[in-house]
Amino acid sequence: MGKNYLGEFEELIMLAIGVLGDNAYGVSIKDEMQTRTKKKPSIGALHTALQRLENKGLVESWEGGATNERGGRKKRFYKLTIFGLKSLTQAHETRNEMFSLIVKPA
Amino acid sequence: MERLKRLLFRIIEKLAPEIAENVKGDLEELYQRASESKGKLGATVLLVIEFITCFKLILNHNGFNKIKLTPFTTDVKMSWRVLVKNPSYSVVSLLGLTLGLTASLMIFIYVHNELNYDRHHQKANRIYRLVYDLTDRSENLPWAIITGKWAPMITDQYSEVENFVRITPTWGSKSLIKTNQINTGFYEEGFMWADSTFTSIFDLEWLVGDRENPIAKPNSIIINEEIAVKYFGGVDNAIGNVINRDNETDYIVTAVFKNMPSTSHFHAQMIASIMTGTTEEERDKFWNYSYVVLKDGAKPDHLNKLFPKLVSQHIDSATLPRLYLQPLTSIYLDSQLMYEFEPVGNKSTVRIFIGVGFFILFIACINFINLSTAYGAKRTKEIGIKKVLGAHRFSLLKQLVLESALITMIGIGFAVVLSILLFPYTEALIGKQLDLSHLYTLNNIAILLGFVFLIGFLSGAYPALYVSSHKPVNIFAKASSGGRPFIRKALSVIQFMMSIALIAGSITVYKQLQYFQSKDTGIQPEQVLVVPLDYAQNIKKDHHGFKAELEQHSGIKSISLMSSLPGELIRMWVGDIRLLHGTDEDKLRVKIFDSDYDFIETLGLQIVKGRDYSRDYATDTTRAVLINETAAKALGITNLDTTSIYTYSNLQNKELKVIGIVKDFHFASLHNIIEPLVIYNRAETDNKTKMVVRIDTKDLYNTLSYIEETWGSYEPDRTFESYFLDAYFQSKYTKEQTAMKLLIIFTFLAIFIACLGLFGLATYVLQNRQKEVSVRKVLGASVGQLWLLLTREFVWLILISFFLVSPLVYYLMENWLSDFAYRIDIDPLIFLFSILIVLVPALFSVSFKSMEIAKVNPKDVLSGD
Repeated sequence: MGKNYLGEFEELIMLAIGVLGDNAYGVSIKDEMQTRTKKKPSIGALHTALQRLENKGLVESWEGGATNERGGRKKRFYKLTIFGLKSLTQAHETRNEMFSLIVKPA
Repeated sequence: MERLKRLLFRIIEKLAPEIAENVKGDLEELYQRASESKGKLGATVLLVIEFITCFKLILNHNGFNKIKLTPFTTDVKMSWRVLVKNPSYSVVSLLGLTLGLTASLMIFIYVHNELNYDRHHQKANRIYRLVYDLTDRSENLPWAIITGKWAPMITDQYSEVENFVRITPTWGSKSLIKTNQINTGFYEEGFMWADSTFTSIFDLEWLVGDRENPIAKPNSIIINEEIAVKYFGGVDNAIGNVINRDNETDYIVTAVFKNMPSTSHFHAQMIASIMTGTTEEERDKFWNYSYVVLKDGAKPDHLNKLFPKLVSQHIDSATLPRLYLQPLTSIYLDSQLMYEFEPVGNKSTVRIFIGVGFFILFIACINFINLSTAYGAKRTKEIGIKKVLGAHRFSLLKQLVLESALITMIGIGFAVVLSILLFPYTEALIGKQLDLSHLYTLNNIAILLGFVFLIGFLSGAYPALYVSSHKPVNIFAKASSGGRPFIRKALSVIQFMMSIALIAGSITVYKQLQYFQSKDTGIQPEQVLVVPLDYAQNIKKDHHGFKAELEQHSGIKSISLMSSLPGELIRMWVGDIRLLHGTDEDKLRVKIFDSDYDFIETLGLQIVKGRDYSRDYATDTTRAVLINETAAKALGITNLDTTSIYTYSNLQNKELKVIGIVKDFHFASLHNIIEPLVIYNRAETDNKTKMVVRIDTKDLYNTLSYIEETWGSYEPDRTFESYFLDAYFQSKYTKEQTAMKLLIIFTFLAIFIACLGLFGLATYVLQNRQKEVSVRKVLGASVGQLWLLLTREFVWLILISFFLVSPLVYYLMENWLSDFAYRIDIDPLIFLFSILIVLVPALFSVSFKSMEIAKVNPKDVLSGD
């Protein structure tokens, strides 16, 4: 935990990025999160979080090609950095570990 | 909807350029997807919601995330709970504030637009228009146009002048445009010729082509996006292609520019090289609009002082024109010159709107203050407890001010969103496209935020100070007295004064504009069709034949050719006349209609003396003249049989017999008084630009197609075009109509907000008197008596406001009306009416509350004590 603590929202975004592989950009991340969690993140919140993640070095991004449905605007693709993947794994492991230690009600 | 989207995108672009591409792309994709499933409207709503969620992103981007707000969070939370707990108070104050702010934002957008004409040019502050004022003792002739020689001359003569450009328009006629690709032409406005320096003086936004010197060579032309798309199917295809004007001259397109912004005092669609087919000598003689750029730091006043000498060197005449420089940025609002490019704005209308905007804002603020004071009185117990528990006065103040700031902030947020959503309607109302890119800048948003705190603070401060000032002992010991009645009353009086002023003012403006439009111009424009004849050479050559052919149709009553339409000042000639036996001293300057037979009948004018032109007298085309009543009076003509007039050189030095006097009619605009007029009947048709046809509208379609067919047989190369005279007159007054519509809407809004405030105030005052009312009731007062008692105070307030504000309104309105040549007198009934408009809803809302209080069973009130 400590410094690398990930908020729930941040973690979900990173998971979505991981799931999407090469096709992770604003709208696809939003869609992915929507289908998996039934919550609708807004574009504003999403980009705020993405920027925070990028500043922390958890994800990196690059510009892709322009498409018609975006009115000729370029997509910005995201992917997990090695550090990001490590943090995610760490969070996951901490959770699993703690989950396995839950004292089951008799 | 598309424009709204573009606007939102532009805001993102301006405020957060680095991430704009990314965010815009996502928004666009969502928008496209939503418009397929939910339609345009649904998609737009979604877009706006998503856009709002980006606020924090934009703020972060501008470094706001570094400011720590934690000390405030508790207060904000508390304030929020207070607001949620008292929905009626929150909703009423929020409603008033939001409406008031939205209205003032919309007015701000309108005024901002009117005040920012021609400021988009980089050199705007150094560009001046050279104008020619022929005003002398007898008349007022400030012209916006000038002959071509002056601009080069002063550029040559004075070192302060850097450069010049002359722009020659087509003087109101449309140009028939064809291209090497399309041979069926269309009539277009906005064709101009200009010196090659045009592009270095005025800033155009280039799309493609030569940006350096595109109209230097003869027969080169630059066109705007609209023309490029219309004629060449796209911006990129236009370069190197040929544009033909009026089947005469070919021009080669060298560059394409973006359509000129609405905030330009002229709108060129096509700008051709002035060198085309002219010699320097000719160019010096042509009338045009001349602009000069002064060098940095040069003073126009200094040059204006040097001009008289220059003029006297070049003009040999008793009355010399006054030459002077007019700042480019003042043309739209300050200029009252004749022969402007396009109708200019009206400064007093803009002033009225600034006033209205402030009034509404002020009314909304006062409302808010009254409401929060009223509400604060209810909270004295809470404050008292807090004080007993050791709260500092400062922390109480902070919380109360923050509460009002919170409401203000929410109000401003709503107002901004509402004004963005209403933007398309604002545009429709104003009747022109507005450019908002320079409005939503970080700077303006900072001002807006500052404003939030200012209003929040100011309107929160008084109630906060008042509420927090009580000693806890007093609060618990006796019922609150409810604040200083004087301040409360003074605020309401101010509010009523503003409402009454707004109502009386807008009724006056409305009546004046109504009067203006319904004023009998002396012309009967209904059922009169106008057919422009510019360049219709075949018809002009054989106009008798053409007219005869048309007159065969039973739907056509009469036809006349004429030089210009009434109101079309730019085409009007000016000349001098005197009585045949008079002297040069009696010379009279007149306006001239160059017309044809049946002019009087077609326009529905009246002859008061003498007769109309008739084909029975051969001399009627050479030696006869009609004048209007004003001219007859000025010349002192009483007996027609013996009256002849002499015309000066500008009217060919002729001796003419006055055959009739025409009843005065408004041949110019209603802004001007009726001047002396001469109606000519010349056989020559070179100067005739319009044909007016009085038709029977019974079988309109048939008649119109007959005229069009006949036109086609004469002018196969020229598209037929026509419009109705009354529609043309109407279009002359669109600006006035816009102002009227806006004013009515805003006045009603102001009344509504004021009533909202009154309701709040009544609630407050009456609640404080609940005990008094109950005691009176116990002692035997009837509900009616109580109603009278409670309502009386408000009626007094309204009457006092009325007497205070009436003289001011009278003075301001008298001032405004004095600008009009034809005006109404201020009717005392207007004042009566305006006080009624305030009184009725006010009484209604106060009575409602009074009755509520008067009906309460005294037992319920008094049992508590």
